[in-house]
Amino acid sequence: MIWSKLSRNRLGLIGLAVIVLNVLVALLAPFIATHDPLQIDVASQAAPPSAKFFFGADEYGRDIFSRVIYGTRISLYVSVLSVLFAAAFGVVLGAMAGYYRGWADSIIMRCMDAIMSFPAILLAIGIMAVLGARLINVVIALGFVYVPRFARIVRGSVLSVKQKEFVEASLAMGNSDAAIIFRHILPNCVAPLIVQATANLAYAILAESSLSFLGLGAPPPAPSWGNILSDARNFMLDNMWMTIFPGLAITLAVLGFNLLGDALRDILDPRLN
Amino acid sequence: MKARNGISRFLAAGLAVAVAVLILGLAAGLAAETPKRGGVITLGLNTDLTSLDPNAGGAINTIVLNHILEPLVAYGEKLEILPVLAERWEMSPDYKTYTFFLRQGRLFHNGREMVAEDVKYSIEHIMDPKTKNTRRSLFGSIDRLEVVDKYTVKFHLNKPDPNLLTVLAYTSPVMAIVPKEEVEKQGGAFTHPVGTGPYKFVEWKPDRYVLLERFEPYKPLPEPMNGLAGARVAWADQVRFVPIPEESVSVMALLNKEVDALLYYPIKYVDKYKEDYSKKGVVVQEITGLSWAEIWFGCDKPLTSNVKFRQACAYAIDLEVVAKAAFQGHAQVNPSVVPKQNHYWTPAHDTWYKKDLAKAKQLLKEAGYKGETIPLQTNKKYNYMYQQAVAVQAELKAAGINTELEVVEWPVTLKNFYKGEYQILSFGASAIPDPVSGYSYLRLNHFFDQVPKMKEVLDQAAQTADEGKRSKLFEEAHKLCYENVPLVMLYNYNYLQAQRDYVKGYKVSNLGFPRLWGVWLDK
Amino acid sequence: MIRYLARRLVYLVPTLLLVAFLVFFLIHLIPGDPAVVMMGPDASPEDLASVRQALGLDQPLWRQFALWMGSLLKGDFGVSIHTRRPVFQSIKERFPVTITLTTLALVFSLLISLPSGVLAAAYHNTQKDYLFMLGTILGVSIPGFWLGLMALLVFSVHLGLFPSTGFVPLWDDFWEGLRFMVLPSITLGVYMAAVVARMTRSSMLEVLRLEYVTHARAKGLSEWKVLTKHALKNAFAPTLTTIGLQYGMLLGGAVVTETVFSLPGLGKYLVTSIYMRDYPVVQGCILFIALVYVLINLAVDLFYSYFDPRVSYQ
Repeated sequence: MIWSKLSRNRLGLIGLAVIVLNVLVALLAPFIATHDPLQIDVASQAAPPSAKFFFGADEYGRDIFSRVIYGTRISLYVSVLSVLFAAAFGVVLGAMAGYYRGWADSIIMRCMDAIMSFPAILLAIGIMAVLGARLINVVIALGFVYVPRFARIVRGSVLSVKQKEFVEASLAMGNSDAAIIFRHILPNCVAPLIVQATANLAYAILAESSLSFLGLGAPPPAPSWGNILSDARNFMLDNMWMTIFPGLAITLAVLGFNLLGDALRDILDPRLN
Repeated sequence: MKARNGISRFLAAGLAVAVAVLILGLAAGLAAETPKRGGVITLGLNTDLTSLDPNAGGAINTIVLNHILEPLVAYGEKLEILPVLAERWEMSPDYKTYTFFLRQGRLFHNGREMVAEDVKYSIEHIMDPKTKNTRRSLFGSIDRLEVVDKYTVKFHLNKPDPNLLTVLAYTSPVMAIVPKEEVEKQGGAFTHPVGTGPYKFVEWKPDRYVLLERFEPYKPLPEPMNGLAGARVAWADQVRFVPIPEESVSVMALLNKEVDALLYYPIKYVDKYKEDYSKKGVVVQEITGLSWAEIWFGCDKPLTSNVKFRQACAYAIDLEVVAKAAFQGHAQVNPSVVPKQNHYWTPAHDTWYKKDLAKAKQLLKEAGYKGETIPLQTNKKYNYMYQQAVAVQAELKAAGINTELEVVEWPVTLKNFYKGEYQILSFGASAIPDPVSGYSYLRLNHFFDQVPKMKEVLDQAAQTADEGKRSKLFEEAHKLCYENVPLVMLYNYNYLQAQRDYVKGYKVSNLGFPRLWGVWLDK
Repeated sequence: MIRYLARRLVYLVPTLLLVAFLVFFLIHLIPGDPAVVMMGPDASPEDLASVRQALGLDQPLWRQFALWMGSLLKGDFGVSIHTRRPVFQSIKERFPVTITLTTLALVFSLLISLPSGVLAAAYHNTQKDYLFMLGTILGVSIPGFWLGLMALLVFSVHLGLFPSTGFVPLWDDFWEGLRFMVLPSITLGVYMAAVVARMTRSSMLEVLRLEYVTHARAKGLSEWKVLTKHALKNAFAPTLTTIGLQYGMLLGGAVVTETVFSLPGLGKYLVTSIYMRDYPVVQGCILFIALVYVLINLAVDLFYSYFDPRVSYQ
């Protein structure tokens, strides 16, 4: 049913296509890339785009095209894992807060408020600063920062559904809290959760590349798009291609998720438009 | 009759025109070379200052402080010691007493005249452990200072030291003469430096700029500018230092005239853009400097304590290749700690290993190297240190030596360097004019413990002022380095000084410290 | 209204405490001994001990936190390990730069987003609206730091129109200062402009559908009057909340923008301090920015309650 609606939304389809393209590129990277993304070739320092180096070479003579291709893996890895992390914790915390109310609700939501009191990227930077630049830490940092968004959505849904009759009936029948939560309440949150997840995937890609650009994300020589751009900074005067292509890659990937996210929002939750 | 008159009048006219042109030409030429007072010169630095106190050391801090403070003596371009605040000096035959006769009428920025008391205070302040001067250890031979009269001060040493002058002329930190009342008012360390220099301190906005202003009463010394000595004429009204950490941004700033000159001009822009940028009003001066780049071995660490292993590395590393990778030909390969411009240099200092992978592999076997991966410490703050590390890694790999680049932050690199905490380290240091100071760094990687002869040789060199004897001793020091390879000296790199074409009188110094005195703006 | 304000402030306290605790706790997340990480593995035992003492690491956790909070309330944000200067003073020096950047970005962003959002709503479902949607989607998809790099490349390097680095305070020299801020503030403001524009459009659309608007139209009021007097004021409320939330993105984005343009603000200071492992500065900056964000959101909430009378009667 969602698919039929989606297939009528042109922009959404384009978004989906872009995402699928990214996934394919990530999976098939070894077959698409022309070079080893870590291969140094000092003689080709800052070479302009050519038949050998489609996007040119970077400061160490590494092929930027191959690095951008492999960079897709890093973006998808970080964004998907961090969103899963955030969703998992967010759903559990939000459900607990909404279902049990009282102290649990107060404490959990105050904590969520506290996390949201920080500009997201700032908190991520802070966490990366202390944990150190490693890919798994980026996942943890971004996941942590986005937990409150999921928690709030789930809590809201839980609150609104709790009053409904069938829940009381279920309780009367002796079903456990967990069963009630999972079978009756959560299915109602799925729609806004999906919308939030796609939006979050987009933020995560932006955030990961920003962190890597600052040197606080994927550790070099990993070909994260942000790293490639960071390396390119010193060559802005010689070779502007180094700066253009990775940025386009990021924009395209994020655009895909945003387009799909918008379309899904239109379909699943028109109220939010 | 008429024709002759015509010709002679023609000739006379021609002569007059020629003379006029000559005079105008001379005038124009002179005008271009006549310094103009006024304006603000802005120099782009590659990093911000960390301190305004001379005792903290640090090349960048010293660059700025050199315009505000002055020492007793300083190095000239040929690394000879020249008088600055001291007019002349006398050494006792046993090298245990130095008498300095100070120049008169040198004013501090607070208006007071500099006198012998100030010299006594300044040196004692440097020697005070509480001051934490980074090269305090060099003053170990001074027992006490004596103020003889208003302009005469005597240094009494506890042991003969023929080379005290090199300590007083030390470049970084600058051993400046400062007024006691100002230092104490600021809690023992300058936050608002006061000295005798041509420019006085106005303000430091961290991350933004340091501003200096001409000290009007300053009278340039009678001698011509030479190294860090001689006349310092403050043509510009103000001097500004602006930190621009990003290389490409700093070059952009020079192109856009946001700065008038740059401290470091990136090597990679020289060849490719000398044609282009010179048409846009950029001038680049190049001179082989005294700064040195090297690969250090931790002589007390596993594997690198083994002399055979180090010799193997020496056989593996081709100095030309590394110099090319780091500086693309803008460096002079030099396997010795003593730079070629130094008057102590002799051809004996060129003795080094020729690349020989077979010999390297043989020595590795003898050393018992089993292919372990060794960390090669480097940093990214100084691009050449990183590039040379990458190149050295490749060279070593070809001989079968496995290394792994360990990139750390600059402050960590410095700490590790001073503590000798590394197996292999890619490093570089700014000019060290006296070879004894240079070789004394070998104390830091525990080489003296392994080869005590080195320390003996250096101690002997420190205890004599006989140039001939010293030269021979330095040759011996190099021989010890050659045999034991405590470090692989790579090259002395060129200083590239970039400026706008309207900046005149800006000459590159061998010592590597930019001098904005004697510089004026022609615009 | 007063009661709302009071309740709001009361809720603020536990949140602020948690915020402070989070920042405080960051240091304890450092793998290994924080003192060793900061001073290096070969620091002398005396140095390590003094760092531990300065940071209170030798005390039980709760006491550490209490001590830390105590100094905070006195305005003592600690001392930088690298420069030995008080963190608060360094923050004070740099904060005006960041505020200038974010405020100019805000102004730019509102100037673009509000009118275009209103117009897009007015031209709902036409080609203009479609273009608007494409533009805003692009605006939220372009990475800010990349936009900054490209802006530098085009406007500073190739066209030489704007300086590539440096800062002059607006209050020293307005026009010169503005020259230095044009590229960074536009770069920073683009994302927010896109978000606010969309928010404006959608809340305008909602309001336009409401009955009293059709009623106003029926009364014969001009479209312009309908839009501005009736619709906009009510549509503004949710937009205002979004602006408050987006200010957080501005503060966060300022960190990246300042790094790209080498502006001497808090953001660049934070990043540099992280490289130097100067954790007291890192903590101080993060806490300070978070506090500013909390205060701004508070202000927005109060403003909001002024615009939306329904709120004050809760």
